[in-house]
Amino acid sequence: MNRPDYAGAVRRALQDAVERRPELLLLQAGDDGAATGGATFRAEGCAAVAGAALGLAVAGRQSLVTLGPPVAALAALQRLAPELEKARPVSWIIRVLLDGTGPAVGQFAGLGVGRVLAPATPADAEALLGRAVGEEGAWLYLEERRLHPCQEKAPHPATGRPGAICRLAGSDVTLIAAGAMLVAALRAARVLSGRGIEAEVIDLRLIAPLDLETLSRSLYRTHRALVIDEGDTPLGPSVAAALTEAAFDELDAPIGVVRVAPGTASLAETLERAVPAIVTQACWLLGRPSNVAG
Amino acid sequence: MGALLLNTPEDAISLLEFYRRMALLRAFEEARLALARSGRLAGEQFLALGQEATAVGLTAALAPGDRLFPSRRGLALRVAAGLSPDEGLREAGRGGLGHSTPAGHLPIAVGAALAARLAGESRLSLAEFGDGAAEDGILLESLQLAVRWESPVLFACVNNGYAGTTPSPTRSGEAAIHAARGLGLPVARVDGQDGTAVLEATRALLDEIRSRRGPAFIECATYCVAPHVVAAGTSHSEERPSPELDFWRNRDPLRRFRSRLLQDELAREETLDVLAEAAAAEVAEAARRVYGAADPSASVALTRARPTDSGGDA
Repeated sequence: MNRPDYAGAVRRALQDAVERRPELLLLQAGDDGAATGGATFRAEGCAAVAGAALGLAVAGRQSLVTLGPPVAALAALQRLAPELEKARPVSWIIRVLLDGTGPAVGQFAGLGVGRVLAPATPADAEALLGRAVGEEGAWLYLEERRLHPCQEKAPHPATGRPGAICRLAGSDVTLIAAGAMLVAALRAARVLSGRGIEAEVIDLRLIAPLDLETLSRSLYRTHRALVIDEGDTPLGPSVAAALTEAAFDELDAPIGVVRVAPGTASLAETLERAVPAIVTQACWLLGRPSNVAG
Repeated sequence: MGALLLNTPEDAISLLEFYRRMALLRAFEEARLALARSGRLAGEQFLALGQEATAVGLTAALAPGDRLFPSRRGLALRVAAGLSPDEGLREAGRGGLGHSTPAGHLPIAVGAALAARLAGESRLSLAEFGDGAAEDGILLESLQLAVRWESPVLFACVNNGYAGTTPSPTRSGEAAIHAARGLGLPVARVDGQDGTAVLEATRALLDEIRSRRGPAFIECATYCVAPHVVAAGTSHSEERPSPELDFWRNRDPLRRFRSRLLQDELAREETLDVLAEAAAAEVAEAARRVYGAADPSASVALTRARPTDSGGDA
């Protein structure tokens, strides 16, 4: 049984996009690895390519723009923000390939570039990109290179609905994560289960705007939450603040932010950094001993 | 009416209309300077006072549907292209004109031009920027994109002698035209104080862009007689050397245009006076409507930091 990996799922979504929307222009800055190829308009400089995409949008032509490496993509999008403010509303899809070494998911949350998607599984990688392609509007699609070789482990009905979903039900604490951090949250939940803590795992999928309804519903069950944030980004505090406001009466403890040290392109090393940090902080939140060695 | 500059009636602009637009810009930029100094405009004002021939020459060559991407110093270009003085003064009062970075709009112009070409439209983009912006790496990226993607863009470098507060010859923006030529763009360097020279060079390049698909580059040498930037509450009035100011005031584009019209007997003095007075009155009216004072130079500092939408307080 040959299940598609994350990279293959993205490739399929892009091929599908070209077939379904032949008028959609493909632009690309930098290299997108083995995932696609096939962009019609390519150049090295992220800033100019992102600017050109905005020019196309202003002139009524939608494009799907791949930007990388992530540090250049972030700088390009930040630089464009004031122009974008004046050009609104625009219709475009910006696809950024994160690789673990540059800025992480959370740093792209507040750019105002569009609705921000951060798929963590192959099914979502395909479904969410398909959704963005099929709908007018501005989208920022954060693809995670570290997940490229990953296959779908626990088949979940792929839904193109951009919003959070519950990946694992639990009653003690909610772990909120997106992208590569979702994998870490699921691993941490397994470890916590061995210690008698049943963690619920929410996959954000859409990091801006936040799906506060789904997040709040989880808090009705668990009354405690941790946001897993790779790097020191605005995502953790903003999720915690918004959720505190939305579900304050449900909380038995302040919402915590697990700050996972960024800076590695290795998924294994990412998990080595993230899982113990999540386990420790979850145990602390619940007042349980947290000696991870056990 | 004055003589036509070109034989093709559909895109011809009369010399008198050219003069009227320059006079309008002169009044507009002077009003903006006075409003900024009296503290009634938010943010920084980048003026193009003295650059009227360049602003009118570049924009008069555009066809309906063409897209103008002005720099933060390019509000005058938008007025020259038809933005009403009311709207222009309102926009000035919001600060942060046009574009936040000096060269950030260049690739946007390329993208819009690409969209037009792919849609089979003949419209093109005019991207205006300063010689300071020409030092920004994104210009080189944008030139390359425009060449590679055959985008109909006229890159218009308005060299006003200063990049920021530094004289242009000590900087490297003046080299941009060579980079453009090296990439295969047709280029022209013109006297930006000579309105008809700017118009004719621009028109020739636009024709070339439309016929051969791809970008072109023009550099207009001009001079801004206002400080680099004017803002309320700051002493941005860096003094330019007076011999330099004298040199450029002697090459004032309005006066030069006017004496040529008179000398060639293409217009009567009274006609030109009427046009200039009407333009000044139009701007004064606009300033009164938007900022609510008959005399924009009257010092009412900070009493009205933002423009009103409903008109002045009479």
